[in-house]
Amino acid sequence: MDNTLDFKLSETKVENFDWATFFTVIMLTLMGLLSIYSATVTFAEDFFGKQVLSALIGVGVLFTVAFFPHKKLKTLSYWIYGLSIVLLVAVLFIGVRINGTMGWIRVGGFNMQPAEIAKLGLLLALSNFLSQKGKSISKINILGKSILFLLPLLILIMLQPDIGSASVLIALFLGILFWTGFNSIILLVVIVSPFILVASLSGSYFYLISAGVFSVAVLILKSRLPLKLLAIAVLFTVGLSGPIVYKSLAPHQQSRIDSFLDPESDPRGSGYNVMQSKLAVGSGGITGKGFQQGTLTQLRYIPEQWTDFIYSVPTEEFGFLGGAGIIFLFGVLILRSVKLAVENDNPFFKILCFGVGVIFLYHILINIGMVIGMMPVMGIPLPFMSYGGTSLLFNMTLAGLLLNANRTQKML
Amino acid sequence: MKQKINTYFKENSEYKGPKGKFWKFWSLMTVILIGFVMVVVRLFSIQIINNDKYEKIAKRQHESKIDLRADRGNIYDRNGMLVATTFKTISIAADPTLIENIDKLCAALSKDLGSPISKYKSKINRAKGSFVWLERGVSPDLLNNTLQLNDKGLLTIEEPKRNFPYRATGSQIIGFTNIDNKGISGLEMQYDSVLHGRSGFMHMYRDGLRRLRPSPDLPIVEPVHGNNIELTIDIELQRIVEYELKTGMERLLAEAGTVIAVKPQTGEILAIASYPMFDPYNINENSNEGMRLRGITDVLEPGSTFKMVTAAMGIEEGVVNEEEILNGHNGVAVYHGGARIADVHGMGKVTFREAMQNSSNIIMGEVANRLPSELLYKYIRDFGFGLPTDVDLPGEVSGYVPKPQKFHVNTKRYLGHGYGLNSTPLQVVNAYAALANGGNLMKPFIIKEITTAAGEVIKQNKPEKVRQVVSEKTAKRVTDLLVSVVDSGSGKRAQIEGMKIAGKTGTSQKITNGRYSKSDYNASFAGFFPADDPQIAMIVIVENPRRSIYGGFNSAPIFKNIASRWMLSRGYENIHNPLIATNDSIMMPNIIGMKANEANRVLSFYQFEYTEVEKGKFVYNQYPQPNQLVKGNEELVLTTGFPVDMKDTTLKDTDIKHNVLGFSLRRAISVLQSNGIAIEVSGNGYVKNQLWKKNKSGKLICTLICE
Repeated sequence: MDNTLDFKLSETKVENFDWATFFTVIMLTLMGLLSIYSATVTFAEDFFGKQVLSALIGVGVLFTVAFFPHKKLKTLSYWIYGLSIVLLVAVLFIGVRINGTMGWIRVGGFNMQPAEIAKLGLLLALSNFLSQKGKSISKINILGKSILFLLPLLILIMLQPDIGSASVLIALFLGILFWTGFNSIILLVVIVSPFILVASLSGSYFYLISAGVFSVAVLILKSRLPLKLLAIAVLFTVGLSGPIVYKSLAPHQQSRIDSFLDPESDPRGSGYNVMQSKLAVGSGGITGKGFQQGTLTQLRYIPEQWTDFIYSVPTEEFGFLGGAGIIFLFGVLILRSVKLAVENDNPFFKILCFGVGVIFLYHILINIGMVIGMMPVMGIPLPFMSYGGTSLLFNMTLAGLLLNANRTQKML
Repeated sequence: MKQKINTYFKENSEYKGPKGKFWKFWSLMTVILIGFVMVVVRLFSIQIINNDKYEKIAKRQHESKIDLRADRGNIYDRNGMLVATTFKTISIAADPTLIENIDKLCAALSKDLGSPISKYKSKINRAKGSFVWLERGVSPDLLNNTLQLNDKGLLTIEEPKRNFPYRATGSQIIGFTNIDNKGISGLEMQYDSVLHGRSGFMHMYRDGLRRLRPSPDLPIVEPVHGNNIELTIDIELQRIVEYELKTGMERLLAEAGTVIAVKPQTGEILAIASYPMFDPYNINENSNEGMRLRGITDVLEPGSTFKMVTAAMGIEEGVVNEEEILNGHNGVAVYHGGARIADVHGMGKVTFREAMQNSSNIIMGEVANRLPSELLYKYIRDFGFGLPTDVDLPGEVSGYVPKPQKFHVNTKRYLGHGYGLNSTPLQVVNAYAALANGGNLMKPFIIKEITTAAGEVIKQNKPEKVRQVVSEKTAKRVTDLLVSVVDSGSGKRAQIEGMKIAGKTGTSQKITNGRYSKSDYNASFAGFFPADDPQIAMIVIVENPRRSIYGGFNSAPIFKNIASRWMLSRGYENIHNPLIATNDSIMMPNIIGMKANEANRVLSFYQFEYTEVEKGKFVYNQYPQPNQLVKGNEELVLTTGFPVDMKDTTLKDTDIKHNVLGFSLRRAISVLQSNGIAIEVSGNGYVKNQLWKKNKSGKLICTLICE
């Protein structure tokens, strides 16, 4: 193990610099800056300026991470994990509450979001832990230790509370379990159960169809029959218990679930944002209304549009072409992550890149799904585009890790 | 690829699962693909397939069409006094789906308007959809608390409200408007299309906080304001007429009554009123009866007032003269077929003049009978009976005159004293006006002029001569007869010392169930004054009075009171009021707001001694107060004029048109505001003094001093 922290550029293969990922990230960041500018140009607070500064720092971070000696990264993993625990504890005491979530620590003129660092912490820690020899996830003690990495972060984040970030951690965790060879049937049941629950609350037909489809999937997977049958039983039970539990809830709890699953049933609360962002997206058409011409954006119909609802800006102002273009860029990013996860010869990077891909995929699908009214409203930002310094730096770090993995892999 | 992937999974087997990794890669790809395809399909569906729908909703949400409301036109009287105008009110509505704080909103409304909080709450809670009216037509100065709220669900809508500065005066003519400012009775209804104008609109952007922002690229359609109407009505005379009619009706315990005053030279209707009346500010189930202008919508037999027509045609045709001796048959005459005509005051052989003075049915019937049927019919039609006058008021009826072919043997005798035909009071007064106008029948009208908001004349009604009915000489001679009716005949009660009145009483049995009623009578008095220089022709009809059936008793005093009050206020100085001599107490006239010289004239007419507290142009207070009974010798204290230092010598009397003394402050403000006069207010309550000045740019400023 090389213990020097100095860069040894001679070791690096510059021709292995992943330009595609780099340009994708830069374009997404620019797109985000453009959207933030359009959404906030008339505001007194200079969101755009701050984000430009974050972006410049972010590019610096990206290069630093990209050219960081990859062996040191492994060493650093637990430190970053530890740092995120410290910050998550600290935020509960010295944090700033915004929209009901105690999630930000004020540093200078910026708000730092420890939950973003926690995502990085979990990713690095799990990648490091599971890439060590003999740490097979199939072993029950290894699974237990992995869960012990997850739980403290999860609990601290739920204390804020920040459901969005917590769900990211869970998604990341499940993704890594999948990638490292955890029993696929159990994983499928865990991942699919929430969907079946939602389907069962939406109506018995949805429930029967979705439970049926997933049961077929279970049967196709290679595993022992008793486990398969148990999995199918669990899926159906979850679906059956859903409505029963729902009915036993107090009315205000029921209505909270209703508005989570169907924001438009609550047009004054969370549904307002979704309704308005759908209008913004829908009225954009094929080519959009033009930069700074989006009426809903310019007339400030979408509260805090520059954070989680940023995707409604380019879709309104640049239309389907803009919206699909962004999705294409994200697609590139995710395929790059998967490619690296598949091709890389370094077990640490294999897990790490896969984790990065999971994080990006989850953020993108949930965030864009939310903006276009497919997904419930959770506080999940759009990578590289949503306003927020910590989030941008976190995403730049992830991109940097991808670049690092690409740079340091052996040529095939 | 497959090979490659499998190779690498196998080679790096630290976390290799029990099975190969190939399926893992592809199931991963499938999940990613499904996720991305779902998002893109959804995006496609929203942005391209349903684009129209979302565009429409978005447009509706942020493009706000602001109505630029056309101002409803004003109605003025012949002297330019404003009798119907519009002022701004605010209506409050709520959008229950957007209300942020229902308690706060309802509490503020309740505090401002005094209604219980629960009233608004239940309105909001019961509302379906996103709109519910909470209050309509509230004066903006009442809504201090409500207008300060910044609730998304609170909608304030500016609504104009019709205002009648003279309140109920002239309400039967003018009519009123509903809450949507649409005319639903009287001229407001008949001329609604003229008055209401055409609203314009402009588009504004409404932002996420519901604030409006102008949008430079969307079109503006300017409103076309309603036209103004100037009436021939003299609102002051109308006020006198309504007051005297109402008090007369109440004194006589009569069912109904009508007064019409016409300017003989032009046919302009100066005042027209019926009893019962209604108050446009207090509409209830009884109002319908009060809205009818009986003077044009009801027919009755003219009775003895029609004898003027008989006299005029008799004299014109030379079949009778004033001094001819005629046989009155001592009050009862029986004709062929047993037809019987009777007189109340039986007469023997008397002159035609005496017969006219005492209203002999027998002799007037005799005179009419001397004319050929066709000629008689022609004269009756020429005086305007049996045909609509085409007056520009809604609901006129034409009355009925039998055709000569249908005359029976005694029809002419009946027609001669006003039976056997029916007519509207307007037709009768118009016939009298023709006499006062040298025999020239004019077409009556009430709309003098219609002008645009900018002052451009659209329509102007000029006096229209229908025909010369009798010669000027005949008219003079009949006038002379009518003067003697008032001087020494049945019309004595209309006498005004110092002014000659030409007039004729009339009493006619009402027709109930097709037969002449024994108990129901119409008492009427028609005439004009001053007889030597006719200014007003007027008819007073009292339907079914309970005190006495005779026109002389019932209608003549009302006629007289109107005539004397009017002529006094016009500065006709020859009149002496006989009331002072005969009564020991007298109703104190209302002289608040009169110009000092007018007040002086009125007071000396009543022979009041008075003291002026301050010297000035206007009376702004008086003691005793108006409409109190006072002894003639009681001392009257007048407060007139302005404090000297506030007097603006550049003002002309004509500038000061809007006299609001004695008005409540609110009403005064609405009158003045609607005339574009700036207002300064000191005090509260009723206007005690009104000070005028002009600012540098020549705009009138009125200072209201209130107590």
